[in-house]
Amino acid sequence: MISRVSGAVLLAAVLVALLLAAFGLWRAQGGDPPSQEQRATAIYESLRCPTCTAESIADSQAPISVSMRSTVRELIDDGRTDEQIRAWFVDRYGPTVLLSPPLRGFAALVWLLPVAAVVVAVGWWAVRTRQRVAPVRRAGDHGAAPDEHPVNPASGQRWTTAALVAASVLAVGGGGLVVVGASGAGGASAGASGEETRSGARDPAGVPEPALGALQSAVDRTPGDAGAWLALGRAWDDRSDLDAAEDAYRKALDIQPDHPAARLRLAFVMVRTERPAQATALLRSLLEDAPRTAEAVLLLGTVQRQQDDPAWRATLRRFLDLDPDHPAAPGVRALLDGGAR
Amino acid sequence: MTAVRARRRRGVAVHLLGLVLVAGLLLVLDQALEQSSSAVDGRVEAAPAPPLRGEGLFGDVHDLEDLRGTVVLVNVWASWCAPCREELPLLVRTAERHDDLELVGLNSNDRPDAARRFLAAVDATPMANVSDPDGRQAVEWGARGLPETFVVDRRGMVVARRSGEVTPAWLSSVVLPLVAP
Repeated sequence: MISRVSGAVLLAAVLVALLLAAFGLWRAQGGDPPSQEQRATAIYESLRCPTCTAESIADSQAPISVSMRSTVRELIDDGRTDEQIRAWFVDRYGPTVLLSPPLRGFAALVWLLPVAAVVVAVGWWAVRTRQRVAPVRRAGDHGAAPDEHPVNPASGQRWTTAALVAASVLAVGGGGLVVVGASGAGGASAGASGEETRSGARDPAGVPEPALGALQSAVDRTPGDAGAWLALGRAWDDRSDLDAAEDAYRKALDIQPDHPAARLRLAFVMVRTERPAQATALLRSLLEDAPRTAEAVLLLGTVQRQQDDPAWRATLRRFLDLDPDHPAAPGVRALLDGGAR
Repeated sequence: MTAVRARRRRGVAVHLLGLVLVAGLLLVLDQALEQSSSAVDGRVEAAPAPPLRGEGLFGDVHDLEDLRGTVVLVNVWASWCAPCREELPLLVRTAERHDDLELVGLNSNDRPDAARRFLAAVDATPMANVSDPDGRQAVEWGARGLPETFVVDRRGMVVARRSGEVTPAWLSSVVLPLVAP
């Protein structure tokens, strides 16, 4: 049965094996920075195919998976980090698009509970073993063997126990290294883009935020496309570079002078750069062409109020008629009620 | 005897702990499964609509932005999608019947000639479409499969979606209430 020597040997062997394994895993994660294809493959394997059962997009032939793979490659070319790319998909598909549950929050329990279960199981086994081994010495024992284990059974069991506890600790530690490594690797090897915002984050103004570089190349390719200039202007707007935004909006309007969104956004820039008269004129011409554009009415009313133009009340009331469910409506109502008394 | 009882109590305690852990794990899994139920059908938390802009199937150009101010049905379809064949005529007719309702198709992962033939077969050639041969715009919208329909309100927010074929019942209960009479 288990003797002290072989227990110690077992412990040593387990320790060595696990150290090597952990080291190997660590090297696999933190060795040379992964290539684009390796990054792409790692990301494919972490994203769920939306129409399959528990399959990643890595191997799925479903058309949506093929499209998702090509989107991943485009985002890598854009210079996004692995974390940003996964966040981009979570923004559009929800957190269930990730194949491994996130490390934070309630879902962290999925990682922790099995580990806790292993620790408890080992601890229980160790306690049980010690109890079984503790010799029951009674007065008047007639020389029957205290238990079924040979000479010095307790220390043999102790070595094995220690080996198993060490094994589970190292397994947990190694697993932790893998998890940490998986979330860290590829995150450091971002491209030249210095974006700090979450990629694809839905900003309050409305649209996901493609890389500025991609938008710039879009307008270079098709300088006659008003929509491309508008998108570029929006991106600058989101980065609070109002001069660049205005420039892009004006270019859009050069191409298409009655473009509704471009006029509205340019008017908003004018408001924010203290040019209320120009903003008002632009909004009025917009509303001549498209009188039901609620947001233009809202902006006009706001500017009028800023300028102490008494027409602001009628304007804002018109906004409420046009779009009573607009998110700004309660605020506008409060504004109107506040003065009416 | 006390030793035995102590041992038994400890054993029970550990068993209980094990049960608690298992129960916890099942709870977490249940949560995860609930979240991953894929088919969404009906109102969703309003979120800004992604851009939808591009060339159609006949050299025309469309931009969802231009339709701001009306309710828009964005329908993701392809010629190889059988349920799309059933629902497209219904969608086209419904949009025609209401001034305040527009239909824009997103033809994803499809070949333009097959798509054009498909439209002719279901009598929907005049329909406004954006061509998306590599399916990337569909991914931008978070489409999980085909057909999928998104409802964009006047402010440009996605307020409802449906995975799978749309039915008259779905249209009347989810879409038409948003549309001006």
